Amino acid sequence: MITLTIDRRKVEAEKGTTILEIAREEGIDIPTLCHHEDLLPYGACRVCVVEITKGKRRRIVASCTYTVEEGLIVETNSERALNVRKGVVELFLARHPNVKVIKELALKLGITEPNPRFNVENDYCILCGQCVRACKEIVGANAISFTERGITRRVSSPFSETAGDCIACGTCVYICPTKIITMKDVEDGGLVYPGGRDSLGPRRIVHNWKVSLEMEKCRICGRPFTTKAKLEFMRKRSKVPIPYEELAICPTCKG
Amino acid sequence: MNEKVDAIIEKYKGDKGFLVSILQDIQSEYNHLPKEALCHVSENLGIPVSKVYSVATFYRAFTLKPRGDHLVYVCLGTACHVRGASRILEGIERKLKIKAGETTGDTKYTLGTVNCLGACALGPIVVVDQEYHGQMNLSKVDKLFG
Amino acid sequence: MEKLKSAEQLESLRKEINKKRDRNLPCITVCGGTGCHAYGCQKVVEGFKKEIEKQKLENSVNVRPTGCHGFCERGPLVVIYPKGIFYQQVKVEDIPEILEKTIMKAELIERLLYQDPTTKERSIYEEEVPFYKKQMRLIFGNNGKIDPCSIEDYIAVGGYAALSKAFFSMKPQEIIGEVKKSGLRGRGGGGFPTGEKWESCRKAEGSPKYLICNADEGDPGAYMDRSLLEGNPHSVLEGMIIGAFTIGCHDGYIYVRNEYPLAVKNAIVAIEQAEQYGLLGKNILGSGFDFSIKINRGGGAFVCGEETALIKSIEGDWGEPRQRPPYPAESGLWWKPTVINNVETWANVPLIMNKGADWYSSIGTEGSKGTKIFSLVGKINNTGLVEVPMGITFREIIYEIGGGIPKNRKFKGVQTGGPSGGCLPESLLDLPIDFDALIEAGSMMGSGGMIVMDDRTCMVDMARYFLAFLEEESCGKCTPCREGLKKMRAILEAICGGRGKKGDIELLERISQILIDGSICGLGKTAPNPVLTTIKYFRDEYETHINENKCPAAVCKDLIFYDINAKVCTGCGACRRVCLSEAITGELKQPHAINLKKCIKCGACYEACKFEAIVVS
Repeated sequence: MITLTIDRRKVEAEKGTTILEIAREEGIDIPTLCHHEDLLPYGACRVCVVEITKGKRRRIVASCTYTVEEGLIVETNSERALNVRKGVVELFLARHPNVKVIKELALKLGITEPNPRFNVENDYCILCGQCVRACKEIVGANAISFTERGITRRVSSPFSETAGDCIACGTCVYICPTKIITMKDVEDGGLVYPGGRDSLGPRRIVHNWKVSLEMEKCRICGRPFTTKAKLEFMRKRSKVPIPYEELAICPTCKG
Repeated sequence: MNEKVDAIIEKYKGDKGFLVSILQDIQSEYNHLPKEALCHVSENLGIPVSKVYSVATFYRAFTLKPRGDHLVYVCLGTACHVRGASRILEGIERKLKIKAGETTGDTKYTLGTVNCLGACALGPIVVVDQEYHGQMNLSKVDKLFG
Repeated sequence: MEKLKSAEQLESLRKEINKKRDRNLPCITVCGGTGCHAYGCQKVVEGFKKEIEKQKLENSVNVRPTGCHGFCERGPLVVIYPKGIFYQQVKVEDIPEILEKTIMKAELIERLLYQDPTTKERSIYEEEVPFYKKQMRLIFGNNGKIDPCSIEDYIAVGGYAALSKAFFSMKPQEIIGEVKKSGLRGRGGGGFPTGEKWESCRKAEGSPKYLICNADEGDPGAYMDRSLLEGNPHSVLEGMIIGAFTIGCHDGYIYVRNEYPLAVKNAIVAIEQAEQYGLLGKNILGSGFDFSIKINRGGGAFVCGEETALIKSIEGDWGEPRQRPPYPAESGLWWKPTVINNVETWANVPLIMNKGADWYSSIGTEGSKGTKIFSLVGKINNTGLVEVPMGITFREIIYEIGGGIPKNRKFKGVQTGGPSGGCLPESLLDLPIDFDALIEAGSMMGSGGMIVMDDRTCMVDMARYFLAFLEEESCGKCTPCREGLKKMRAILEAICGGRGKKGDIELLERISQILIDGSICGLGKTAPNPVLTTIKYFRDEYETHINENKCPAAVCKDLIFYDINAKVCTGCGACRRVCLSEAITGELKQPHAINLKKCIKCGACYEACKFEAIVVS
C-alpha cells in the first residue's frame, strides 16, 4: 500500500491507482471530460489537472493518468491547478458555447460566457475520444478513428466515407458526452440513406459514420431488433461456438 | 496494385512497426496514397482501416490526393523566413494562381511548403522536383514559372 | 572483406590502410553537404575527376568528396591537403587552373582564397579563415577529411578505436562512470545528463532493451544533425554501439526525418559497411556481443522529435506523445527500457572514450561541458555550421566567427532553441552560451539553431511565425496546446494586422501559463517561449503595434506602405515594369509615384530598384 496526502488528508492506496480514483474514493470531486471509468485513461482534456509535490518538485499533472507514489502531496484545487482548469474550460467554451456539458462545467467554475477576445465558434464534438476509444477497447470493432492533427483533428470514418467496420452497436452513441452522435432505426433504409434508392428494408442508420446497416428480425416475435453485422460480429468473437440463429432472438423474447 | 503493395510490405517483412515507411514507399510509387492501396495494407498487415487512415492523415509527408507533375516546395524555415520567404510564397501563389497545398488545374504543379531544408545559406529557397533554387526573389519566380 | 574478429585485427587494418595512403600526396576534398549540393558541388567533383583523367594525373592527386565543411555561405568549398589550402566559391571553370597551378606548381589562386570583407586580408589555410579560427571542431572536424561512404577513411583517422577500448578494456559500469564524469548533456534540446539516462536504463527492469538515435531535427533553421549524419555517419554509429554495449541492448534504431534523403542514404551505406567489417551486427569484433541498427524514416511531423511521440512513430502509429512518467529509460519502445539520444550526443561518445572524461570536462563551463554545433543562419554574413566550446559568448560567435550583420545593419536579436526557444536581445550578447544560462534568460539551447536578426526583423512577426509553425505541428490531443495555440496565433495575427487591443499582451501571458502548466508534452509546454521572450525583451515593439498601429521594422504588411523617394528616383521605370497591380505611374526620367490604393505590397518594386528609391515605412 502506498501512503500519500491529498488535499491535506493522509490516505492509502494500492499501487497502480490513479490520483483521480483515490480522490473519488475519498469523496473529493475532480471534474473530468474525456474520462470514463470503463475506458483506459486518456489525459487529453486537462480538466482534471491537480498540483503535485514530489520531493522538491511541484508540477501540474492530469489526475486521471498519474498513478500514486509514496509520499506524494496532491492539491486538487490549488491556484495553479485551478488556473489551468479554468483556462481549459474557457478555451472549450469559445469553441463549444452551446454544448450542455461544457456550459455546466463552466458555470461550476464561475465562467458564464466565452472570453470576448476569443473568436467564438459552434462545434459539438469536443474531441474527448470516448467514441473512438470505446469502439476500440470495449467493442473491438475499430470502425472510427481520429484523423489529421492539431486544430484540424477530428473523429471520422475512414476516408470520411461509410465506416466499413461499424456494426451499429450504439456504444459510441451512448458514451458521447455531447450527444452529437445519433443513431436511428428506419423501416425503409432506401428512403433515408443513401436516399432515392429502391426499398432496402428495415435499417439502422448512424449518420455520423455514414452507416446504413440491414437489421435482423427476431426469430420469435419478428421485430427488427439489431443489425445483422452486430450478430455476425458477436458470433465471430464468441469463445464458445454459437449458431447465428440462436443469437437472432431479441432481448424481450430471450428474457 | 495489390501485388505492388504486397511487394512493398514484403520488403519490410510484414513488420507493423514499419507502417510509416511502407506508406512512404507506396506514395513514392503512386505519387500519392490511393485509397485501394491503404485498404490493402490494412488487410495484409491486419491493421484496422481506421488506423491506417489515421496514420496516413497525421503525417505531412502523405497526401491522399494525386499530385501534379512537378512538386514545388517553398522553404519556410526560420532563416528563410527572416530573409523574406513569405513574400516569395505569395509571389508563387499569385503566379500559379493556387494556394499552398493545392495543385494547378492542368495538374502541372503542386505547391507546398516545407520547414527547413537545411541549406540556409541559400535562403530563401524554392525546390522544384528536388532541384534547389537559392536566393530567390520575385523576378526569379517570374523566370522559373515562365 | 573478412569480418574483423578482434581489437588487434582492427588495429592491423588501420595500420595497413594508413601505410597505403601517401600522406604527402595532394588530396582535393570537395564539400558534399546539402548546401554545397545546391551550389552544384557534384559537378565540381565530377569535373575534377574528368580533368584528372584527361591530364593523366591519377598518380599525382586524389579527389575526395567529403561531408559538410561548415562554411555554407561560401560554397562550393574545396580544401587541398596536406597543406589545407582553402578555396571557396569554386566553379567548374576553375578546375583546370587549380590542377595546373596549385597541384602541379604549388601556386595559389588569389581570387579563390577567402578575403576578409573589412581588412581585405586573404587567408590561405583553413585554420586561418576567420570563420574557423575561434571554432573548436572536435566533432565536426573530420567531416571535411573523410568520404562519408568510406569506412576505411573513418578507420584511417582513428575510427572505431573507442569501440575497441569500450568493449575490451572497460566494463559497462565503468563506461557509465566515464560518461557521467565527462558531464555530457543531451544535445537534442533537453540537456539531460547522458550518463544518468544510460544508468537508469541499464538498471531498469524489462527486456529486451532498445536504443534510438533521434535524427528528427525538426527545428526550422537547424541542420547540424543532418550534416553530421550525412558527413560522418560512422561517428554516430560508433557512439550507438558503445551505448548498446553499456546498456545491454541488441536492437537500435535511427529515426531520420523524411526530408533528409541524403542522410538516410549515407547512414544505410555506413551500416552496411560496418556490418561487412564486423563492427556491427553479430559478434562485434569477436566479442560475442550482437547489435544491429535499423533506419526508420519520419513522416513529416515536428512533434515526432519529442521522445514519446517518436517512439509511437517507430511503433507504426501516429505521433501522439505519452504522459511521462514513465520515462522512456524505464518504459519506452514497446513499453521496454529505451535510451533515446540525439545524433550529436552519440557522436560525442567516441570522443569521450578516446580522450577521457577528464580531458572532455576541461572544455566548457561548470554546468555544460564539451562543444556544441550551432547552425548560424539568418541575417549574418558567414552562414554555416559552427562548433564552439560551451561558454563562448554570442558576441564572439556572431561577430568574430559570423562576420557580423550583412550591409552593416544593426543587430537586434538572436533566436536559439527553435520554436521552443526564445529571442535574446543586444543586452545579452555577452551571455556565455550554456544550458542553464540560456534557460535562465528565458530561452533554451535546443538542438542548436541560432538565428540572427537585424533591425529589419519584426519581433512580433517572429512570435507570430513561430506560433503559426507550432499550431501546424501540434498533434491536437490536449486542449491547452490545440486550442490555446490557435487563440494565441489569432491574437498575434490581429496585432500584426493593426487590430491589436489593450490587454492583448496580458491575455497572451495568461494563455501561455495554461500551456506551460497544462500541456502533455514539451511542444506545448515550450510553445509560449518565443512569445514570452519577445514580450520580455521587445515589449515596446508590441506596444507600438497595438497602440500606434505601426511596425517599426517595416515588416508587417498591413501596417506598412511603399513610397518612392522622389529625390533619389531616376525615373528608369524598372519598378513600373514589375508592378503587378499597375500601381506605379511615371514618365521616363521623371520621378515615379505609387498609388497606394492599388498597391498590393508585394515588394517587387523594392527588389527591382537599383537606386534604393523605394521606401518602406
